Amino acid sequence: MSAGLAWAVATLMLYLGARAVHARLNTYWSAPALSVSVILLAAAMAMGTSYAEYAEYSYAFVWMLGPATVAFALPLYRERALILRYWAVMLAGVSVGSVVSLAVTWVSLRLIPMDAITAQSLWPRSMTSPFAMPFAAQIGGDPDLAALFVILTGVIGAAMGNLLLRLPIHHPIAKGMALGTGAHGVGTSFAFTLGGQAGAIAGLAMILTGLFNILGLFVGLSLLRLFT
Amino acid sequence: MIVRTFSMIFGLALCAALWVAGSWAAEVLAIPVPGGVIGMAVLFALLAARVLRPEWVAAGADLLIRHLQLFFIPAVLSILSYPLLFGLLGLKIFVSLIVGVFIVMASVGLTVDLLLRRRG
Repeated sequence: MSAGLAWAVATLMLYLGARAVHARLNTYWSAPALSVSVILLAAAMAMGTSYAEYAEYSYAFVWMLGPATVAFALPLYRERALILRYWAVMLAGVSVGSVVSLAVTWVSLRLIPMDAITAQSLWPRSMTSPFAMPFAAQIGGDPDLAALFVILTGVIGAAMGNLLLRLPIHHPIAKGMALGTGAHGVGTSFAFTLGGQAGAIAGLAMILTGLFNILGLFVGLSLLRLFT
Repeated sequence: MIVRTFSMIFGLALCAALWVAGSWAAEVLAIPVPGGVIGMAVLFALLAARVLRPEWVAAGADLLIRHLQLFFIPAVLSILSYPLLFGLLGLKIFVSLIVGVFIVMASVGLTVDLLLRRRG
């Protein structure tokens, strides 16, 4: 077995193990994407493995994000009654979240000097990976690095979930919207611990935030092309 | 059991096929929208038009969504190519992520809560 293939098998095995552990602990910091990444990272650094060597076969997993994006149609369809009922509030929440996210990223980039590729990969951190990665690629960032910022954002967001609950936010819909828009998948898992409605809304908010930004970028780029 | 197996295979195959078709359409039409998003719109339309029943694709689609974390773990390892992120720069970015995500979540939560209270 080649080293690249061994890394891919190790990734899968560690993921399955981490999922079992996560099911028992059920806390935000036991999210498999975090624990498995840390273990693999430590191993790769100890063995002096480069990203290219690691990713030779393992990158096949990343390709699965494409079909997974298509699969989002199913929860959207299942929850269409919820969307129809709350579409205006959801649109408002997703718009506010997207604009604020872009604004805080802009401020961060002004305060922290960094290379262009890292900077461009930071913009889509509040979107779920299947949207964040093509978004980063489109604006000249590194989609893989964007995935790193995405998982960090998700875990941090869920970790601050309890702090968020201290704010005067009472409606479960509002809690779900906040967690899904700001911290995508990991935030959604946290939202489900607050109740089924908050979780379902968070999942929808996560998908809608990604869609909103990707389509916003498309419109923006099209207008730019039209006027230049 | 047979229905579940069918729904698993058909669901996975359909999501993959719509992704490939969506990517192809995006390239041919030269629109900067990911193929997966186009595929998602098509799948949603097929479900809404009742051409497809949700249970035909449910097992496969749910499997893909359930294991989303596995799919981006390899990309996270890309940090190996950015040694600078292990230093002060990484720490600064980390702090900015903490502050940033809290501001985003708080503004969304407070806005939506206010709107819902107005609505009563």
